Amino acid sequence: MDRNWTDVAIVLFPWIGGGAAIVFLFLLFGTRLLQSEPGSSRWHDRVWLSWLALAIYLLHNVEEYGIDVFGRMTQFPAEICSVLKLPAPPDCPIPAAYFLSVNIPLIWVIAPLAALLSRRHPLVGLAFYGVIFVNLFFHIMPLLAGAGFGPARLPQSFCSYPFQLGSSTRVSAPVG
Amino acid sequence: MSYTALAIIFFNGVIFHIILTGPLMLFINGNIGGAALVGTQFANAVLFLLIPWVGENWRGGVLIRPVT
Repeated sequence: MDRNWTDVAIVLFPWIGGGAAIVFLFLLFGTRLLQSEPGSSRWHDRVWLSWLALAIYLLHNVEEYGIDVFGRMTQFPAEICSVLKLPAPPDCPIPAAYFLSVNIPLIWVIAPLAALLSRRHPLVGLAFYGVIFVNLFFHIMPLLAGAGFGPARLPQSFCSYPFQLGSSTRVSAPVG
Repeated sequence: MSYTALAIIFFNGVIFHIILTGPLMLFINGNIGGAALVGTQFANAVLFLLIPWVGENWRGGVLIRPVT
């Protein structure tokens, strides 16, 4: 299989996102810049929660496509190919462009856009928790079923905050 | 925020994953090419933003009114 720019990009993008996640985590927990009302609780602030979802997913990408808890690099595509009983990369027929087209538009474009819109559009801002919650199911179920610890289960286990969905019922959502 | 709004958020995540995996299966089975596979994922990202947007504006925003 010939290597092209997508094969390089799939190795680089999680680390670029990981760097951005560190910046976002600093802004989220070290400042009040990403809050709608600086004096209120972060955990009930839909704008802050929207930006948090972005940071969570950028970190999630690091373990999926960067390095997992066992030190394996770019392990998630390999696991997908294995689950689908396809040859392991680089012979797997699923192109790197597929994984990039799933993650870059959604996490680098849509998620920040949704967070920016969250002040006036709470449902749009919190939409990312839907992906996180469904992803949690797919990542955690194999673990519970005894399939072992795969790539991206650590961030999904400890960073995805399924309780956020519960807490978001308490997020005030003024219209307009 | 109402439980209906939470259901929309969850439903949006499910739809996203269906469009994530459906075209991949079609690609593996040779029904679509690589460009179509990638194109569906760009469309998926746009749809992901569109669904909550529509849900939010549905009937004048009835779904996002705070639980009282």
